[in-house]
Amino acid sequence: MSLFGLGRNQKTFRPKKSAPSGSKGAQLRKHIDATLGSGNLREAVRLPPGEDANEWLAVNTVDFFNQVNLLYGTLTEFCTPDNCPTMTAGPKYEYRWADGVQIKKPIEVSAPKYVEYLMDWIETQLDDETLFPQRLGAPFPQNFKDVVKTIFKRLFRVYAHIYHSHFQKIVSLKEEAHLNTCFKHFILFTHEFGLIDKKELAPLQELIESIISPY
Amino acid sequence: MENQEEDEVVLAKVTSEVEDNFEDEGLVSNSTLEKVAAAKKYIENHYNRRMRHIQQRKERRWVLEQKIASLDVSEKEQLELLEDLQRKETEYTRLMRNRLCVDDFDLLSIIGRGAFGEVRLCREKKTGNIYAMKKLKKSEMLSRGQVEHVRAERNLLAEVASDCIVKLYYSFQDPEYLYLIMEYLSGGDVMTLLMREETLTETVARFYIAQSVLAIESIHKHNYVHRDIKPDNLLLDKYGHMKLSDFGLCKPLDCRNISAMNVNEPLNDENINESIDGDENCSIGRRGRRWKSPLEQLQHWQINRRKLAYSTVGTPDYIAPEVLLKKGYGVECDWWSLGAIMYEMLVGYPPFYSDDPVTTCRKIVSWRTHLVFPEGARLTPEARDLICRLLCDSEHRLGSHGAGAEQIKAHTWFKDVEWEKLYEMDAAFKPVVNGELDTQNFMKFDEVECPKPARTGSGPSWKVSITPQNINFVGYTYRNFDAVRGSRHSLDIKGSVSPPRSSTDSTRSDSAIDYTKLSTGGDGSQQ
Repeated sequence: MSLFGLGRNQKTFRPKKSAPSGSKGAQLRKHIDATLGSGNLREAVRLPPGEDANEWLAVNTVDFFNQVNLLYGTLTEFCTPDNCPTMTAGPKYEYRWADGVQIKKPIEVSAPKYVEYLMDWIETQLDDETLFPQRLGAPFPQNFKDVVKTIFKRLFRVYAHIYHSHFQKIVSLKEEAHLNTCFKHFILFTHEFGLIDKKELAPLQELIESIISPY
Repeated sequence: MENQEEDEVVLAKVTSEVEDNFEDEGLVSNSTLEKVAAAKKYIENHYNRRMRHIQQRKERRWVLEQKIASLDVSEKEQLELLEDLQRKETEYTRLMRNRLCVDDFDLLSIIGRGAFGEVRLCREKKTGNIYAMKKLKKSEMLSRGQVEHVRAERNLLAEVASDCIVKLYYSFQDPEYLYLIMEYLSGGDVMTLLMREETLTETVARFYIAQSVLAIESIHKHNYVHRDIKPDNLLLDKYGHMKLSDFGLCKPLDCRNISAMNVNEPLNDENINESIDGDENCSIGRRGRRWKSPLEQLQHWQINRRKLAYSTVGTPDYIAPEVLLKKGYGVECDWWSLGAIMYEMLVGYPPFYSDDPVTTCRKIVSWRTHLVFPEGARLTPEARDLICRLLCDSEHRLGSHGAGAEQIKAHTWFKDVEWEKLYEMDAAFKPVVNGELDTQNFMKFDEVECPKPARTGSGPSWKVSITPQNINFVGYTYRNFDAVRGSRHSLDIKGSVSPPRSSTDSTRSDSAIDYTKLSTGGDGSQQ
């Protein structure tokens, strides 16, 4: 079932034509570096000595899910079907929704609809005891890392949409340090454990390189 | 006031951003501003907690490694100890993402009740561990402006690892309530102790006042002011050691009375003089007191206290004048409360007792006139002196102006106190406790409501949702590492082992308790 869904996922990601404009990028630059003084995030992503790798992936997945959900929740007044009729990440990238179960063929939906589908889908994954076991001693499935990778790939799309479509609003709400900190943590974590393919990260490649290159 | 300033800043920022050539479509709604504030707070708290977890995890491992190096155990046993810690850490990591709800606990006796909810004995279904569950009604807290206090309490309990403070194991919420799952201290509290004993000897009082000094010092170190320390917030474990709890939430003052008093009858000198004159007209006894004798006052207090214990309205008897007057107050207001409790321990009733709260407040505000010791009270001069240095204006109070607990510890009444050993030595009073479910040391409360189904609608959600009801309680969930460790057997072992301890407020020292148990577990002969 999930393999089938994974196969379908390729078609939810479609490159579009035309290059991004340069003027906004320069203005964004000065806000992009603001973060909370949250200590050493690079240390925070490392697997603690002796810790179970899947357990570490699981607890961090829940944390990142909550962060993205909260950050996006502050933008619902602005991220509307009228303002964001499709789930885009800048002019070159558009995401379509398919979960491989209820919606097998990718469909074009507005950004808020996409995020709603996505958050509900992730919650279903987290609720699934066969994927994210809660009982002490219950094992993770063999394909657990693949499950996590799919979740992270899709969470990234929310960040990509926020940065490309709503960052100026984030700045006016004085949230950029919070957004940047969460995103930096997210990227360092995906890099540490190889959770998102590089091509999937293309919409924010420049920003990501500034996060990872000192690493 | 602060919030208004923040709003202004936000609005100004929005305006300036428009000038910054960003295309803004106008002002944002209050709903969005609330969500932004909640999200920011959640994220900031999350990263603070995260970094603290990492540090604490390293410390636990470091402490165990140091312990192993100093123990005379085989290499095999060393590995077993390390593996045991690792198993606990992994269980804790899983626990961090468990969705807790009230259905995970069996609800047992009610041991306390307040305006916001109640405190119950409960048993965690998975582990069988016994806890106290404090359940707080969200709507009541919102309507009484208690949201920040709730958050402060939860944050303090989650942050402070101390022998002097009751331990918080979990916190979580559902649409209607907040829940705090706390250490159950079966020895009762100082209030019930005083109800049985009436007065304490100076030896017993000194022990508990000294432990209270350490507890208050502990929360002050974390920049927290309690404001409402009173005998029912001083809990006793089964060995008789005291822990500070209930940070001002279970029995709030009825704010309407205080507000009405402030609005209609300002507590200025003229009004106070008038009321004193009025008292004199009714007075039979000397110094204008309405009581015929200290004995009558003691008896009246004993009767009234029992009523207060069942009431959902708190007593102002221990509250500092600057708190009542709603002037700015600092940490020294907690030392006033300590002085009032000390007076009651030795005299038998609170220093400004009256049978109605408003009169008590008036007396507190004009403490210079009303702080007297009954003639029959047998207090040493040192005890009397300490009380007078705590029940005085905030400028001259012991512990004020940054002097802190050290100034109080230096007082001659505490001359023979061994501060570092207070939680290791036998307690001055040993409560009777029969088994871990025993609640004989608490007041008896009847069930008021039929138990309702705990869940409304679907089960607990993964999402940290921002809804109108929840917006003030985002980020409330918490789990303590010690929740992984708890078992009936280990609790008994913990009670019997007294490891050396460098301070009462050290995570490292607390960790040492764990690993003493681990090393005890490694020696089969001790089990």
